[in-house]
Amino acid sequence: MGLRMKCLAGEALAALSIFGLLGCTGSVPGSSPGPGSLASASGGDGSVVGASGGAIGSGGAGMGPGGIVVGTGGAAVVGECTNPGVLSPGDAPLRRLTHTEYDNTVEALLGVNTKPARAFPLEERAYNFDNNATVRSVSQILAEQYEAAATSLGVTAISNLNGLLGCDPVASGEDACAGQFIDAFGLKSYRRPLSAAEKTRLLAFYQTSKGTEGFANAIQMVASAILQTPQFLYRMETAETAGPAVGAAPGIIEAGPYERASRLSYLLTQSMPDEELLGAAARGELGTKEQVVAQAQRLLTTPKARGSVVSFHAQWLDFLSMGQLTKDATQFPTFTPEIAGFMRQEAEAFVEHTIFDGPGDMGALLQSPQSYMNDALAMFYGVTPPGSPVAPAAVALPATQRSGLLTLAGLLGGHSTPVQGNPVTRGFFIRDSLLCQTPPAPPKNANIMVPAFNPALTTRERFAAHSTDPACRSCHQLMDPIGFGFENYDAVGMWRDQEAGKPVDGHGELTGTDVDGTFNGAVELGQKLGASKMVRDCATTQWFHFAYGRVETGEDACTLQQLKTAFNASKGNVKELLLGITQTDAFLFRKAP
Amino acid sequence: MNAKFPFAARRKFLKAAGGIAVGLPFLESLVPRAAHAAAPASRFVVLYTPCGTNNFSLFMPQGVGANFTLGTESAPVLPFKNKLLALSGIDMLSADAGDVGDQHAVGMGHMLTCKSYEVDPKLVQAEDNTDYPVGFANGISVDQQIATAVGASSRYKSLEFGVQTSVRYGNHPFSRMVYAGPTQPVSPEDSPLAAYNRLFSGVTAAPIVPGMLDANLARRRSVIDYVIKEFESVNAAVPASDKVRLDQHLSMIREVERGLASGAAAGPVSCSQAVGYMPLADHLLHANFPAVGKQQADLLVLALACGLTRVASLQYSYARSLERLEWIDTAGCGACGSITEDHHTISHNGGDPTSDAQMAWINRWYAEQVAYLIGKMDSVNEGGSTLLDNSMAFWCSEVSYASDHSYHNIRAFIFGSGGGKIKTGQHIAFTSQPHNKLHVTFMNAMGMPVASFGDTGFGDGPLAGVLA
Repeated sequence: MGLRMKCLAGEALAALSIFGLLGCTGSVPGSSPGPGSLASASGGDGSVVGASGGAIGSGGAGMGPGGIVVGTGGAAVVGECTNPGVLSPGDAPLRRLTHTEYDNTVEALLGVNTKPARAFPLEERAYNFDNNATVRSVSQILAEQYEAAATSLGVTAISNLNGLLGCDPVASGEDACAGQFIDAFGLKSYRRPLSAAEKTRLLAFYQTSKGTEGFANAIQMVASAILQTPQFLYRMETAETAGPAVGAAPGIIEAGPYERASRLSYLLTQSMPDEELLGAAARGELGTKEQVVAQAQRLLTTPKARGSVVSFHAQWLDFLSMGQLTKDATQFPTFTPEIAGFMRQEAEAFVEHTIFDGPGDMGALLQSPQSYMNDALAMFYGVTPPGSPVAPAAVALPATQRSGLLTLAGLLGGHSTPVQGNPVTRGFFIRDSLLCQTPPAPPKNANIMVPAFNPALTTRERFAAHSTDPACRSCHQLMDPIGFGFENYDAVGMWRDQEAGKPVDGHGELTGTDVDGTFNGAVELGQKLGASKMVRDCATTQWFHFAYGRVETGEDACTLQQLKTAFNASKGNVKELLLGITQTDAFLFRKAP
Repeated sequence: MNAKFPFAARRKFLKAAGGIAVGLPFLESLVPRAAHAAAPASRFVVLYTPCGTNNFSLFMPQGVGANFTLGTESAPVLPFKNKLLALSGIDMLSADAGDVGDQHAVGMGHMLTCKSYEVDPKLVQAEDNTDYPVGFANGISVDQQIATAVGASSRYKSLEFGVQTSVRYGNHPFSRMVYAGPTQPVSPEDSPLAAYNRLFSGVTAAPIVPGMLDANLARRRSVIDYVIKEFESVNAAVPASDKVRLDQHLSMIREVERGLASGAAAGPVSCSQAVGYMPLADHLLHANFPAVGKQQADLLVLALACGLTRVASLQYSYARSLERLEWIDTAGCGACGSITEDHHTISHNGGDPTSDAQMAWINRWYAEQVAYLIGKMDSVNEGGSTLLDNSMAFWCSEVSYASDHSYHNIRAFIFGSGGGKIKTGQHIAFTSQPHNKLHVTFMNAMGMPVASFGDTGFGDGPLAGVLA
């Protein structure tokens, strides 16, 4: 048997204990033991669990046939922050621009918004996000598309040759002008000044190309080449761009000024540093924490910051698949692919406006009845249209029915089958995405068929086997009791008071959290989760993954603790968390090359 | 109007597609070609459709030797019985050997690689109740192994086509069956337009001026040479862990360079008549699934016929498919009714007469798609034989028996003899032979003198009695 035991830590201890107490083993008794595994999430800064995990497994935590595998929110052993005074930046793996970053960068660089990366192959997503440096690789198709995009961008760029060059080759001489162009375009493309060797190579390439293809084509070739270099496609941090060594911390250096500029811009705007940021780097004005946070504050006021924050939430909470929802046409005749697309729009607008134009905290994200939608979606919701046929506009939804992210139609509809709401996946979503506790996978021999739609029964009645059959119950009580709290929402996320001719029972229960207890409906659940430290810690872990493009390790214990403490102190203010991320060891420093 | 969905969407597609009937009217003009004077090259094709079967007797061949029959599910391929080698008793023993995680993902990974994977905690995905630990397969897939051996002389070492493979999970073990190496999944091209452009017009779907790239061919070659040198220059400046990433990227750029150096990104002259191709309005639109499948099949056949590659795959949907195939005409099915649940959900309701009937009808529909592609391959005359005759097209799925995710008695239908290299027109019933041996058989038939493949310990050498 290829058992693969993984260790886990932090909140996983709590999570595992719950699973253990409830006897959730990921296997169905009386059958051949399938290799079901107990997946659990970490993301905490709690106590360290030994590498084997066996100590806690002995209580029947279901360690038997499977291995313990860390889930979505989790990571490797992190442990406690025992030396808060010691610099510990962790690893900084080489990061290639994501497709979004590529398009934004090309637009900032060349002023073209053709978004060529939309035709690139889909990104790998790991730990929910498309920017995990360790799993991303380049396929032949992607390499071909980088080449084709760079060629076409270069050809387009020389259509306004003097504009691209920034000088007049007739007045100042072709070679002098080309030299200026290489300096200036190179600086912006590489997000730092060219090294002498890089400039020499580019000039030589220009000269050779000019000899065979003429001046304009040579400029196009230089531009196309730059757009395919590793310096452009990757955020390279080398000895040349490094900052000064930190005296007290052997092996640790400051991230250099241009490195800090790119770290700031790609985190907060998913694009290259703007002119002001490059200027600050050139002037050595990113050397202190205060200077870094001042730039971060400035960037947070730009439109692109909204895009970055929305992109984080869209990936974390999987807004991405909302636009693909399909529903049964007989039951939901007004649901169309367009409505599905509007639901995704609503989710993105809700996140954007709540964070940037509203209270800005996790509580509001989980509780606000204020949403943003266009007329068509408002009509689908059955509320007064805001008079905005295309773009989402503010709409006040009934406060007794709606509770922020939890009750977005796209999210509830996404955790439903085409014909009925699915309390299992709805509960799983809360447990996994918001609490970073991943219940185990169903065992190999489990019948995971969703109970057939039966208009004579309520959803709660249809899913009753999970509560009565002990084999199902051990794991499903982690999910179903939460999911039943959403009974007031049908398979397209719309409110209902009645189901199968009976009044809806929207009671649910949270267990194994810091806000345990029964609740009646999603609004009360929102109040609980909005006050939960575990939810805020989970969000912090997700932001860590997104911000640093990697998973946390033991070296990040203090960075994570610092972020969690601050996020809790700010009552979950998202912009404050982003500013805090720029003040961590992992952001400001790196290991010496 | 809303009530019309999904039919409205389907009409939208039909309108967009015009009267092209997604066929390839230009195919006939390809033959005969001078190249056919030599013995046609043998080709290897993988066809994947998801979720296995819930009734072996309806899918797997009944009766051994030449006198086998096919049941409801696989009957659509019966017209090609003489060119079909149907195997039963093949097991994915490597998949049974202990990989944890979602069983569909395990099967998908092992199907073509025979390799275990390390569960990668980074690759879980919150979507429905599928937040399971999974990992990318830890080895090269058989098609890529073959491509490495036979692909050097063709424009593309291999081509991977897909039909909405990534709409649900993205680039994920559920969605990937082809591997260039350990944990290196190869993403299929899901867009017929992008695939067409890539193969026949030398451009990608990127918004560019038509013809621009060809006009720039000489310059593109110089630029790519510069880029390769630049990668080599910076390689020295990065730590070893990052070098791996740059090296991997560079190896792909070298493939681009190889393509540019071969003269043009476009295919051979005799195949450049693929003009007037009408793309679908939206290849990711759920309702376009059947039409995308036909277009991708057409392109795959065209690419093989034109000699652009000798190795290709076509993947419909993805492992544990959550797609609802509501377009399937269930007239004649009996107990089916209309299909209101997704494929995977239906596959786990064994014993329910409606679900069983729907499962059979879904497999039958997929068999019709396979038959379409096989028929196209058989229609390409290669001078006394057909493209199908000179190919081996392996139809597979990530599990054999869906209800309990079994890996025993897997789907192993092989169409075409690879140019007389394997004995078709029969059903061979084995008893628990590892699928490693099946893949060794494929490689041997493609002229590769190998004796083992994938994880060891399950059995080496080719399957007995298959090679001609």
